[in-house]
Amino acid sequence: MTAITPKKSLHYIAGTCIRFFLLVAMAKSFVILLGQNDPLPPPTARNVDFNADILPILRESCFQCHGQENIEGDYRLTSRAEALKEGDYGSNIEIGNSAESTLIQFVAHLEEDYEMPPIGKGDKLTNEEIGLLRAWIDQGLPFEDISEESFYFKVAPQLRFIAVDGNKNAFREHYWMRDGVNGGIQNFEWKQTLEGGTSFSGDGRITAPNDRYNVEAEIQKRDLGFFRFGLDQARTYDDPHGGYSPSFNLGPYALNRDLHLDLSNVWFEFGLNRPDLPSLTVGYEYRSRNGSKSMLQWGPAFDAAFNGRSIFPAWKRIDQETHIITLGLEHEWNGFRIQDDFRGEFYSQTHTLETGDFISDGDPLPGFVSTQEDDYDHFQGSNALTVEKKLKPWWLASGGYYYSHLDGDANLALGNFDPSNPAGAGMPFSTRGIQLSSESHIMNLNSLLEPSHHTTGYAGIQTEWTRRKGTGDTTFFGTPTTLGSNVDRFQIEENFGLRHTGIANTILYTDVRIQQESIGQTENSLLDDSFDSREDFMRDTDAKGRHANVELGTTFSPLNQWSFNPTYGYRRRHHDFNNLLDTDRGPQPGNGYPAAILERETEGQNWGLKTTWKPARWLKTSLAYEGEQSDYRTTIGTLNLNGVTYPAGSLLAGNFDSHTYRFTTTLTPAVRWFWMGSASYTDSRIVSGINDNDTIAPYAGDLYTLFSSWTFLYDESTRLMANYTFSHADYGQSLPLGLPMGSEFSQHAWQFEVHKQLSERDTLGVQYAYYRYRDDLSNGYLDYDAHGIFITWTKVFQ
Amino acid sequence: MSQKKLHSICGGLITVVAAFWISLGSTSCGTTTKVAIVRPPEIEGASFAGNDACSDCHTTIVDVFPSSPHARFHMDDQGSIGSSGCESCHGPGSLHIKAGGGKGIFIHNPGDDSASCMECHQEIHAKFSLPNHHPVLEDLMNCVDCHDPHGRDMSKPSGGLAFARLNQSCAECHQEQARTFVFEHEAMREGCTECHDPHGSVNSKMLIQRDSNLCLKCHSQIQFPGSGDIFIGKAPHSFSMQAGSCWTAGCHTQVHGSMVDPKMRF
Repeated sequence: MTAITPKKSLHYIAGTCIRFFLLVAMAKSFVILLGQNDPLPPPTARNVDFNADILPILRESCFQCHGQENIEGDYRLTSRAEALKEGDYGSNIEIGNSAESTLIQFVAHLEEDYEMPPIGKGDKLTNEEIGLLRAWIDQGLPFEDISEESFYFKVAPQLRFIAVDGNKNAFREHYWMRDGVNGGIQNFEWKQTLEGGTSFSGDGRITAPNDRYNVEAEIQKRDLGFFRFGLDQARTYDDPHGGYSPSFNLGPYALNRDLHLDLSNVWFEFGLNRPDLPSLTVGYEYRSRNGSKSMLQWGPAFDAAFNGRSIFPAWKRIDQETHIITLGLEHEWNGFRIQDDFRGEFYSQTHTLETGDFISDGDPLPGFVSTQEDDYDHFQGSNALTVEKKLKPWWLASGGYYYSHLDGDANLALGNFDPSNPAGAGMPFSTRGIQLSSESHIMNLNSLLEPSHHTTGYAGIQTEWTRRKGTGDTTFFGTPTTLGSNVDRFQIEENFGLRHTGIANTILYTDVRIQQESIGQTENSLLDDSFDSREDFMRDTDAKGRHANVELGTTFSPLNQWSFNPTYGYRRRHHDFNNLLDTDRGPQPGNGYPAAILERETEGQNWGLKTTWKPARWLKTSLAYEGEQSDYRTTIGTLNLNGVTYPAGSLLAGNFDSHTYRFTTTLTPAVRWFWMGSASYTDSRIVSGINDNDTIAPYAGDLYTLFSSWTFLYDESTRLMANYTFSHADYGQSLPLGLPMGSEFSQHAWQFEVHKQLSERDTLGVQYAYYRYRDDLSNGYLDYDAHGIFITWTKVFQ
Repeated sequence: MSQKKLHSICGGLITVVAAFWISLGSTSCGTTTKVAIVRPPEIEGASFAGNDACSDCHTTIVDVFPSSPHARFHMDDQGSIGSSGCESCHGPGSLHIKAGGGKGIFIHNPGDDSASCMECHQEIHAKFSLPNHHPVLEDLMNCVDCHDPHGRDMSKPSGGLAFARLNQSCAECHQEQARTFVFEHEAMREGCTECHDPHGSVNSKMLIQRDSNLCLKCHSQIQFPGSGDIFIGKAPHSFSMQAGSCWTAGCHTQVHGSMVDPKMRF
């Protein structure tokens, strides 16, 4: 046995160490050598197939930024020619030299800050995928151009039949559709893309008769611009009944007219959106409103005891036209986003109001009909310039300037005629040449700050100065009269907000708006002294206002399945009036109605709590309460009423409060079932009076609403749906001697629907609906029951 | 009035607190879902990507989103992706991103279909179901015709609701009422919503009240000493108030303003 001496032992240890370090150094050098020579995965050895090997990679990882729609870095991979073009970072592909192609270096994450797909926007490519891309480049970039062509068209013809038993006009007004047979295209969609980046799209619906026509379409050329156009026509319906008074022993008087208003809109706009140039949009729009509508200014009728009640219905013929020209520019320059929008509006209207007057109980026609013809037109030009820049990553600043100028003129003529002899019309009142003008300058500056990840604050200030003038001459029952008004109004509004999410599962927020305003106002309406001087009026009032609106609240989820959202709001509007002049040369001269008011204030609060509970994916339920309360106060000066002095003082002129409770549940107990229900109850009350003395009956009552929706997937191709909507109001307000002015009704709507997928591209829907309405304060006049059948077939072409 | 108000406030608070504790007591312990805020629209096969992914293309919208009222429900770092933020209204965006974007391509647009708005704003859905309403549920209008859900209007003085001109949204269609008059009704300075509920109402023309209380809360009355007659300003109104409301009685019919009469009668 060989003895191991200390010297031998030392040699042995030293030799072992040297050998170990040599081995380690050799291994490390080998690894470094390998890495330096080939930091990329090797190209795939076989021939690549573009469609099988390359296209899936491009679709998954590249096209979202370098495809047909989005072109990040001015670079696209949609064709061989496009792929070989230089982008913002120069040439990306060197054919035959994948190792030096920046595309490969980017996808292999060899260039810091240029990783593709960008970190956070997609997974890094695998070595196998990089190898395929390398082989693709090395093998000459074989490319089969990706077809841009696509086509999609969906059309849904519908046939509808609605039968109404009862008041058809009320049904039409409530549901915005006409009874009877109606059919057409309930919905269509069209999307088509051509080679070269041209795309068409459109959608709309066309149902007739007298319902809705709506078509919108767009043609877009990539990197060039777009042209859009649309037309839209809808019809609104009004029930032509007036008020109802039980003392007349009749239902409400009603006009024998089908009151409806056609709202039409035709527009087009085209724009240029060349890269690196300002985008430009030019548009034109034509709007018209033509037809008639009911009014709430009823004519007086007299019962057998000659009690006057204004219940005879009024209606208005409407003829409006508007031409609108728009011009928009938007550009990014040195980090500034600059936007300018011009709008020019030419508006004209001719309206004729007819109100029946002096009808006696039981007479079919009123004693005479009052008419009011109102002609008006204006041109309004406005321009809004906004500039926005992110000054720091945490500071977004913006500012804007808006200018508007309006010039208008108007004429008004009042007359009357005997409905049994319309040719004998009289014209007691007409105006000539009323001139109107209005000018506004608005400026604002805003900042949005995010000093920390959890805190957002914003602040803004906006000033607005408006001057409005109106002048005219009139003849009032043959007497010349001059009219005039001038209002200067200056406002400053400050806006502050804060949002904080630093507390776990909690959002705290507050929003404060404060406004100060100063108003100078003069008005006059002066008749000749020889006529009824009680109508003379002159006023010169300065007013100062202070408004405040504060909202605060929180959203917090102390448990995963719970969230709570308590809110509180406070608002106050206060105006002080300095009446420099207020003349009324009637029996009680001076200190007329406006001058009697020295201060006016509205102060209110609202508060609420919403609790949401989502214990599982199949159940979400919420309970909410909202309360609101407002006080209306007026301070009046000393009034002289027929020689009696009424003392000055502050009055509580009105009070409003309401409380709403709402319960909502969404339930999906099984994959095939869905149910949603929402029920609410509101109790509201408005009281006006003199301090605590109510002078007319409060407008108080209850409102109940319920909405429920149920869906069941019978099988993969059949879906059953049912909806129920209910509302009930109980505002039975009634004056002991006056007209009942409340609102008491019950409204129900049931809908049952079957959807059947007939084939991959065909769907049939059949719906039955039942509508029921009962109005207690119209003596049954507005009641109806309606049944509807809707058959819709949806066809897709692709 | 103040005692009734106190009772109603107390009643409301008691109800809410009771409802809170009753519902808290029924909490299930076997749940695993995340924050319960919004049920987003479904897009078959798509998954949530988060606001940052939307920001890559829709930068200007996402930049100002924190100033939007919708940001009050957005917990961006607390596992609530999809329950708040962009995808809570537009649906999960992964397929939309993969397709390279595009209007309506694998994405829901509440501007075309207000259903996703109604998911949260159930109180508005209830109002749209009342007899007098704007036709949103009938698909003749949609929410974005009047509202900007993203908060961009903070920098747009020309229109919208967030920081813009009063009544601008309404005036877009109701030019007849919003036009300039020689004698304006000063209530218009406080906004159309002082008298109308634009979503829906039990009253004709979407008025918030149907009778003279609507006017008298601001146009305060006084009682003539002795006779007890109601005066508004210097004119007695006791008899005329029985004929109907201030406007239905056929007196102050030009409620939005008048070209000839400071008292808004014609």
